[in-house]
Amino acid sequence: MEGLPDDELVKRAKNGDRDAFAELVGRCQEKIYQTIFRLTWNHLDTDDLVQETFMHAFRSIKSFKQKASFSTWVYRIAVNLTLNHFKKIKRDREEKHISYENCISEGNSAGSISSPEKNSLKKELRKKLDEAINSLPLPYRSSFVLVEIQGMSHGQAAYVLQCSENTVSWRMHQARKLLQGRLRPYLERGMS
Amino acid sequence: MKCEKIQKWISDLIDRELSERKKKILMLHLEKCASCRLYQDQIRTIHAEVQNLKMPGVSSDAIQESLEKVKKRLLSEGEEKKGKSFQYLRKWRWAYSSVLLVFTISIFLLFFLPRFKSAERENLYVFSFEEALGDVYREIGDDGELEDLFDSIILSSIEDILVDSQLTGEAGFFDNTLFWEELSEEELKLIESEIKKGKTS
Repeated sequence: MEGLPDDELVKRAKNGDRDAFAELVGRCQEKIYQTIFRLTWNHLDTDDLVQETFMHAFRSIKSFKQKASFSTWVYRIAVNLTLNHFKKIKRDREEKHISYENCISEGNSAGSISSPEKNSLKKELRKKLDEAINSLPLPYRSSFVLVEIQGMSHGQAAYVLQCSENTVSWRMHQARKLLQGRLRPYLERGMS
Repeated sequence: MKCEKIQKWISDLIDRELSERKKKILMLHLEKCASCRLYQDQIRTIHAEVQNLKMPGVSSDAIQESLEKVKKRLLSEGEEKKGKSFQYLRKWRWAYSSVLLVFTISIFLLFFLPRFKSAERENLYVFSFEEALGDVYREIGDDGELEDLFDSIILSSIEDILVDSQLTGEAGFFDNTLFWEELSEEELKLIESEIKKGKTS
C-alpha cells in the first residue's frame, strides 16, 4: 500500500478497501490535524473533528470526483466540519485557548538577530502573533491558516472554503491588515 | 493609484498570486510611497514569523492513536452496515414469508390441480358393461318374471345382431373409405346419374 499513488488508493477505497483508505488517512492526517487545531486551539475538539473528517470522507468517497487531490478534498471536509462545530457550540474563544507557550517555536529564526534583547522581542512577537491569528474573525482565520500556514494557493483555498479566489485574496488582505494593526507596536519596536 | 489597492496587491504578491503587469505597477508605487513600503516590510515580517511558528505539537504516537481510532470506526461502521442490512431482513421477514407462501400455493394451483381434475374426469367417464348389467340385475331383484323378460330381450337382441352380421357379413364396397377417392370424375358423374334414375323410378 505504501508505494501506491493517491489516485490508486482512492480507486481502491471507492471499492470499499478500508486498508487503502487508512493509508490515505495516514498520509494527510498530520496536516489536517494541524489545520483544525489552528482553528480550534483545542486538542480534544481537534481529535474529534479529525476523526469525524475521515469518517465523513470514507462515507462519501464515492462522490469524490477527483478534480482536486484527495488531501485538498479532505481539507474541505475538515474546514466545513470545523466551521459547523463553531456554529454549534459558540464557546468563548478564551476558554479554548491552550498554553501558547507550547506552540511557540523555540528554534532559531532569522540568523541576523543575535542579541538577547532582540530574541526576547521576537519571542514576544510570536506570542502576540499567535494570539492575533487566533483572534481573527473565522472566515479570515480559515483563509489565513490554509494559505499562510498550510501553503495553499488561493485556488486550492477557494476550493476548500467553497468560495471564489477573489474572496480568498480579499480575506488574506484583510487578515494581514488586521494582524499588522494589532502587532504594530511590536513590529515597530523590532524594526527600530 | 490608491494605497489600499496597493496593499492588497502586496498581500497577493506574498502569496505569489500577483500578475507580472501588476508587479511592475506595484514596484513603481513603492518607489514613491513610504507608507506602503513600511506596510510591505511589516507584512513581510509577519509572513516570516508565521513560517517560524511552531506547528501544533502532534507526536507520532498521537497520530498513530488517532489513526487506530479512525480504523476502528471504519471497521465498526462496516459491521453496523451489515447488521443494518440483516436487521432490515429481520424486520420484513413476515412479508417475505407471506410472499413465498402465496407464490408456492399459486404454483401448486397452477400446475398440480388441473392434473387432479383431469384424473377425476377420466374416472367419471369410464363405462363398465359388467357394472351396468349388475346394476340392472340389482334393480330387477327377486322379480323372476321381469328377469325372464329382460333375458329374452337381451337374447333376442343378440340374435338380431347375429342375423344382421350374417346378412352383411361381407363388407360392401362403400365401407372402403378410399373407394370414392379412387374414382375419376366421369365415374362419379355416372354413379350420380344412376342414383337419380333410381330415385325417379
